Amino acid sequence: MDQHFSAAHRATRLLAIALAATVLAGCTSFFSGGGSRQGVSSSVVDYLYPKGAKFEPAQEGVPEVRLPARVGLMFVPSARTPAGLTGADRQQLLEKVRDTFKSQPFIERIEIVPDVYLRPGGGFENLEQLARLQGFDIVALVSYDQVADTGDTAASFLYWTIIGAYTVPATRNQVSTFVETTVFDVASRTMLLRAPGQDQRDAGSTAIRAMDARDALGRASFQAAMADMTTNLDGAIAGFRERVRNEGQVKLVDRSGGSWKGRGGGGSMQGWELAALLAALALLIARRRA
Amino acid sequence: MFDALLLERDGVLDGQLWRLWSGHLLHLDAPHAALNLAAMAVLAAIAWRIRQLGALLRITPVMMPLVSASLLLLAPDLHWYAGLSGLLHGWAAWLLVRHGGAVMWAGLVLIALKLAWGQMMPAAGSAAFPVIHLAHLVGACAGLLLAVPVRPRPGRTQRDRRAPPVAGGR
Repeated sequence: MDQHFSAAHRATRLLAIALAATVLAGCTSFFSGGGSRQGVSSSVVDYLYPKGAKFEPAQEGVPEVRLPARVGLMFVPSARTPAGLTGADRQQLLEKVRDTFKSQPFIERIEIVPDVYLRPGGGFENLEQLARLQGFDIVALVSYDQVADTGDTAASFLYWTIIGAYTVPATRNQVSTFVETTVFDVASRTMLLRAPGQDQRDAGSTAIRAMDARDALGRASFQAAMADMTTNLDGAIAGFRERVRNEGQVKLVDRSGGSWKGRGGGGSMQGWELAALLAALALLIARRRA
Repeated sequence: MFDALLLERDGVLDGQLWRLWSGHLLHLDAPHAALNLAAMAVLAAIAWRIRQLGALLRITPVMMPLVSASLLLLAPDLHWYAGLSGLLHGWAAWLLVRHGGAVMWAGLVLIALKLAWGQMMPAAGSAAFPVIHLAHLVGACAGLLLAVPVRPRPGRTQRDRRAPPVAGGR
């Protein structure tokens, strides 16, 4: 009888331990996400050429691009935004890209366009509507692809103590970001140039702070990738000029007619300067006679 | 023809060096050409009057590419330029230094004031095209640079040097 009781007691105890282990494991996997991978992306190809859309080049022969151009700058629309990135952050990042474009002589004006003007998968039709509405000749589309990985390191067994989940940084967070600005001439539907930027970074965190750490990492990574892209943009613009000159990829035409020559002008004397010179000559003649 | 002679950065980089000279001779419209040619005629008359016309014409083929190359170097975003006024500022500065004396200093101060005004008020003026004020500054500097090494000694103008010896010299 005693033996039977002790066997039942042992079985109950084992069951309780197994239950506790399962609950604790469940807790830690709740804290850390149990090793997860999340991605967010906005693809320029998906936006411009949605499924079912037929590719139709708008112009035969060498496309003509009218300059100085009016440019619209915007993010490619996406259902989800990168982790930790606020609307203000996105605006600030686009402003940095705008500053790079602004200094270019082929740009008359450049405006940042809010996301609401574009619809996911809108294609060139959506882009042309926007261009007509805002008077753009060229659009610069910023697309992104961000992947965030979260996983536990060997020290994560300490999460079983519950306290470990709050104190031991045994969760590894890794974020990879790729961004790209693709510039299109709307009328000819021609891609003029593209400039990529990328960043990869990782950081450890406690299980309980894993989500916050991943968001902060995602935000920092996105900003770094945008900065990298902005640097590359200068080179891409220089490369575009070179290609136009050497390969005749597109024909640059002046908005007012003729071929585009870039920033330039004339050196001109003013009427009052001519008058001053005439006065000087008159004085010289008068002095000689005196 | 116009495109082949314009001072154009890409063309110069491709080896079309004649643009360093020919760009000065092109103008963007009739008023532009008329004003610059009139100013050139007056400056030539002044040069002739102070007996410096020959020297000025000899230095001009050197001054033209100096102004053009300096302009392209100092304004990397400038792609093209046309007009005589950069060269004419060079002529004016060169003539003032060759003349010397108080006239030189007064003239150079006036040119400096005019250049400063041009930099501060780039949009002022009636031209129908963008005026490249840097060309004027570069031109004046080129004129000074070319004139200073051959400037007559202070107190002696060209007329003094050409004048026959005075009584004491006999």
